Amino acid sequence: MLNVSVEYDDDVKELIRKMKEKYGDIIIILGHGCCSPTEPQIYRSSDFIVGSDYVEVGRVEDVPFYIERNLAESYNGWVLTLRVEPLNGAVDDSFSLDVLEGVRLRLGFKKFRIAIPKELRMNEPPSS
Amino acid sequence: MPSISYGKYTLEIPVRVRLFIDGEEVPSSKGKTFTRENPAHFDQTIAIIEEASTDDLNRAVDLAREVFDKDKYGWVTNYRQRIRILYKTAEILREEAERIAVTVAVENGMPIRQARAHVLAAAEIFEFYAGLADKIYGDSIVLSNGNVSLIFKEPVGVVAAISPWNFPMTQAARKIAPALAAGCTVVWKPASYTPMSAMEIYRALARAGLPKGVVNVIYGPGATVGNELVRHPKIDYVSFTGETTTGKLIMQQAAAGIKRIGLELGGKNPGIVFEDANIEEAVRAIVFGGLRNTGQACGAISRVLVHESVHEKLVRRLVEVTKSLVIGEPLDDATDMGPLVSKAQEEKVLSYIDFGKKAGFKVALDGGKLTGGIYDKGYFVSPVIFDDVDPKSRLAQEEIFGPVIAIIPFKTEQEAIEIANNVIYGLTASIFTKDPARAFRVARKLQAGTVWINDAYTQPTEGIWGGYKQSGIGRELGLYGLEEFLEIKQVYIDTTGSLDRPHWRTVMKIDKL
Repeated sequence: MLNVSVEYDDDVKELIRKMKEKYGDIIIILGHGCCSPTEPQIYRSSDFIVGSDYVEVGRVEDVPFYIERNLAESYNGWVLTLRVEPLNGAVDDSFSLDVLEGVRLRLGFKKFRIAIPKELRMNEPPSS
Repeated sequence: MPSISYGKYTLEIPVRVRLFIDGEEVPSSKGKTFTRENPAHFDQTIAIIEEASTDDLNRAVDLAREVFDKDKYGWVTNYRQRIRILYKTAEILREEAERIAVTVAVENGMPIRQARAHVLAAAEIFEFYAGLADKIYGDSIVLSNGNVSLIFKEPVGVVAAISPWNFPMTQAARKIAPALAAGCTVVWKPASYTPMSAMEIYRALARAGLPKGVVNVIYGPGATVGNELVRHPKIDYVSFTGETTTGKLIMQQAAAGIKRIGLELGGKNPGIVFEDANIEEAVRAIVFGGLRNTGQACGAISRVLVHESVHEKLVRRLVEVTKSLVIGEPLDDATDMGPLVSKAQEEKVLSYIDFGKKAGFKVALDGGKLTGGIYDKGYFVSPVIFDDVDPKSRLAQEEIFGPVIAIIPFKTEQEAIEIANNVIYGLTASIFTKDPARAFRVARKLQAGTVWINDAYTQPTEGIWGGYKQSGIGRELGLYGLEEFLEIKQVYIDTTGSLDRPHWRTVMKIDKL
């Protein structure tokens, strides 16, 4: 079973809320390859058939976040972090709908930390 | 007005880049523009680009459709005209190569030496397809019943070309030149990071005498201009080079109209170094193939699979040679690697470097964000080489599109083949060995559109380019690159004049009608 989680801030919440209002059902897919690799792509859910080639690794304000099944395993144990970045008057060639808001959803990641209950923790070693 | 100079050439910035519709450079009908910054000096705006509205797009498609459907100017039928225009375009690009190279270097960040060769390579593609436009032959079959089947090759129609920024002139030429040679018309959306390179091509075509409306160029975001172009019902063929998931989206959109498609997508290409390889040769090829264009190349070697017996030797020399590369101003003749194309690209590459370190892979050559002096105002990243990388990790599975190389040791030939093939892509591969039998044996087993033996990333115009698996569909360059833009039609001719034909008689008792 995949152990991946997705974290995001208020800017992402606001963007996703706005896009849901504008486009209805949307999905986030982790794009890959060639000229704009490894970026979340936001599409109308009616535009992209996900099928069994993708797995859902989390939800962003109830919008499913998919990663291709063949790549998903390499994300095991990682926290995916989303943030919003302004495009500052430039244009992005991806077909992702967030570009039309003048921003782009970007991906970061941090190593998954397993929370160990206090009672199971070993005693701290004595400080030298 | 600020300017950028190189030799006798001066580029006054920002350059105003307009749409090219019906043979004219025109503004956006809605007055919308976007900007492009200089990747080596991000405080400079180098271009202000007109953004196509839906009306502009519709006009561009309608014009291309009209020229094709009505055979205006004899465009579809008169291949001699097409030959002359393609040759002339090649000639103009060649004559202007030095000046155009400055533009390419500035907007892409490509070092000037490479940019010069890049423009000449684009000219060569136009020249190659000029020479093919009068060699689109069909076939004839005299059937066993004496009748004749004629096979014709005809242009596919109106082509939507969406080209990328990483090699802005050759990638565009691979689509436009064969499409025009075939007799198609084109609506072209160039990459938004490299609008000026596209302008150089459409200006060369116009100067070469291209009739109005044969090629129309529209700029804008993928989410509007690209998306609408792909879905447009008057488009017959979509030729796209770019991000893989966008390729999947295009494939799904094209399905609605059973449009023909050609997709050139990502790669995670192995360079396999066997124990008998000439290590110096392998290292030079890997550095060239992996770090050319700062690694922003879909055919780049990004995984080096090395036999354990030569692992240490190869890594040591690879680090030495990589360290010797000069990273700097694209317009400096000494520069080997320029900046990455954008902030987004820089952030992504740095995030992969960060990932590799957090994942605990050995760092054979440390690098990353460069600072100080000229580096402070550009997206300069120095190469990083990770060693003993897990072949299943993101570093070994995903395309990074930057100067990051993952070394993966192997023990046997079979293991090397399995690691090489165990990715979702299949664009290129390189094999380094002195054993011709092994080279051939392994080349046959690799799932890749191009396999180089004792070399990397050279793309002959006469050859092919394209990938297996998720690297795409179809082929560019060479004869196959022309075939992509041709439909095949059969015309069957009855030569008997008989009213009693065996194939009628078998099914219908026509004599009783």
